[in-house]
Amino acid sequence: MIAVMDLTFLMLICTLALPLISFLWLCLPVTATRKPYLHVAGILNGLAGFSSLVYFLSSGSRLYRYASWEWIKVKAWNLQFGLVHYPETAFLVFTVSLLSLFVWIYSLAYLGVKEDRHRYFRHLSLFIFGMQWLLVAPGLGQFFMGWELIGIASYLLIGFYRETLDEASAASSAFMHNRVGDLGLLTAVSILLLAGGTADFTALSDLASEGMYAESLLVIAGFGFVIASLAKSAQFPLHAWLPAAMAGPTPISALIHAATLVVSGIVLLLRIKPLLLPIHLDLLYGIAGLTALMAAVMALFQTDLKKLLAWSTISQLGWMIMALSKGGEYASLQHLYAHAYFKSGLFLLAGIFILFAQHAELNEPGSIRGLKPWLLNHKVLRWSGIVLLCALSGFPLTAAFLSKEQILMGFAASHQTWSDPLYWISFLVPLLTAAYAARLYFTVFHTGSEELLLGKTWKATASLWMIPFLLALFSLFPLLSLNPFEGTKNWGPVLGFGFYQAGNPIPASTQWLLISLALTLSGWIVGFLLFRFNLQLPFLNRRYWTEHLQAGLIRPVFAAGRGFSFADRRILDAGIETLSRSVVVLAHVFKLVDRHLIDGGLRLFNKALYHAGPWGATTSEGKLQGYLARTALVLMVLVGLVMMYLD
Amino acid sequence: MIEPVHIAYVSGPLFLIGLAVVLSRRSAIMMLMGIELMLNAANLNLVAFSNQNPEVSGQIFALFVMVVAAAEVAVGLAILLAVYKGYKSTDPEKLNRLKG
Repeated sequence: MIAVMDLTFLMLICTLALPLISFLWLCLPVTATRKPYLHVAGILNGLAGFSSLVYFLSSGSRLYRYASWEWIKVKAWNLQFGLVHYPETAFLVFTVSLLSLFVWIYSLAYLGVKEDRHRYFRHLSLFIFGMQWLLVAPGLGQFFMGWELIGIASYLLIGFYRETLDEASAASSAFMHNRVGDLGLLTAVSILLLAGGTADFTALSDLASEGMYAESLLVIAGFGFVIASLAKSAQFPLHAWLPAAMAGPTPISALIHAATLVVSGIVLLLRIKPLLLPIHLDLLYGIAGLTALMAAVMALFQTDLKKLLAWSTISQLGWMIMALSKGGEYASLQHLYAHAYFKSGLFLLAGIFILFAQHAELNEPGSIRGLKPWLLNHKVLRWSGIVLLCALSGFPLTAAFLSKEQILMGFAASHQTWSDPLYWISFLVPLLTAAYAARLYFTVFHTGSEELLLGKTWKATASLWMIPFLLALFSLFPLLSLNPFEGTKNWGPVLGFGFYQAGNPIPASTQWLLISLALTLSGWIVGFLLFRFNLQLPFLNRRYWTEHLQAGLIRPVFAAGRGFSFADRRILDAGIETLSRSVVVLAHVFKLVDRHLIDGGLRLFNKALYHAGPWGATTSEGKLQGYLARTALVLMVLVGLVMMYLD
Repeated sequence: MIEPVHIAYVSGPLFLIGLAVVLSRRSAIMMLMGIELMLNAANLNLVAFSNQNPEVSGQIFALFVMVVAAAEVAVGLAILLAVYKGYKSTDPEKLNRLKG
């Protein structure tokens, strides 16, 4: 059953099919002409980006089911494939296509001419397809497929530099953490499918609102969904894979681990929100709040550039989930979009520094701090960095300012009291975000600039520095609104298409503009002070723990072990030795009985078989004529028997 | 008057000779020839006993056997040629790579 074929539908199909074709194309065995081989795939993805733009601009503002095919139908339940236009995530479809196109171009320059880079682009295409497949899914069945596809693509891409153990183990860690989430999702889907016979999102929410499901079922299924989204969006206690995943190539961190894969947890929550009970929303609110605070503190004292950005991503995702669980779908989605652009921009910018500095440590000699002033003074890079960090901390005129204000107003409207520590956290997180943004800015751009220009020209190609620049432009206010101080004046009514219709946007008020600005500014002051007095909390680093665990815990444990071992040898062993000697004597007695009585009989049987074997084997030694002769003999006997019987 | 049983006195030994050739010769070409002998012995029987019957289906069947025999020899020789290229021999004793 296919609905009317119109432009939007056609473009949606192209958005999905082109990355898949590109993946299949890159699965072909590589020929000697490797460059055109890759570029065909690149062009396919470029076309996919274009069709996603047309799709987004021509799409309507209501949920529309473009196509659905029956997939599995067993007795009372069925699963369906399909393409559905969700107005609230249509912009995410476009964002995924656009960002992956940017990352594609960037990666060509970033990876250089690497022997097996087609593998990287193949997995990238698979990832893009999986993500789009997930976003247009009509129900949980297809959603789960996309969920697994992006999981496996993420695993393959983190482990792209598979020669080193770090990357391989980071990839495995990400995969295993995600498996926990997959288990949750699978449990929830199975329960709902068995209870209601459908996995379709709209049908599910209809059934849930009619009270078709028993409450105990909804509780279990809801916990499954919560676990799934916590794992995918890297929330406590399943957050550890995201900082570890930074071992992978930086463009991948930008696309997958900042902008797209990690937001699929939030997309899941958005889709199944009607099924969640207050207990799940409270649980999400609490966990996400703790994660947001913890991750922001971790980011504040990180010394590794990429890990800092990873912790920041975890913190921002936590903050979005907090907003979502308090009914702020509109605000949460707006922040999701703004975050996708500025965070991937920051990652790609960091990638350029890492490419030239060889490693990502901020405070060690020979690393980013004080290295290559010509690079840090590069005008485009510097301004892109400043704009992106302003977006991260939520200064006015950036898109994140609008979304941040929406989220804060949403928290204020959700009738909480100041006695609740989580309410404090929801205001503390933007302050800390601004603080680590400030610290990052001063650390990267304001140290080492007194060194002389080394007279080198910057050799990076335009495709490297253009991409963060474009992303910096995308993270300005026009992304979300025409009015830089009013988050609800979005593009939808102006151009006549659906634009984030979920939830209730709240009109801006001067009071909240000032509060938001005050949080950002005080965050920058805190960040500057941290930088100025170079405050470090080394105990937030893993290396610190390894060293101190060595001295404080592991050595005493070993000493105790040696003491126990001594006592063991002298005292316990004597008793055990007597016991074991008597056991040995007994064993000898048994052995004699065994050998003569039992073994004798077995040996006789064994010998008979041993001699019978070769004799039997002569019948199948591969001699054609022997087989024929026996066949003829058997036939003759059979014919003889038949004749006798006939007579 | 030649009875069908007289023909059977010829075709029976002919079949046994063919069988003996197939079972004893050390060359696959000779084995194919033995198979030809056996087929022809069967043909003789078909023709002879079909003579008793007003329908000629037995004799037509003999014609089919001849055609099939020709085709079989053509394919068999081609296979033998390929076997010889691989093994440098057509001795069936040596073609035992698949033995159990």
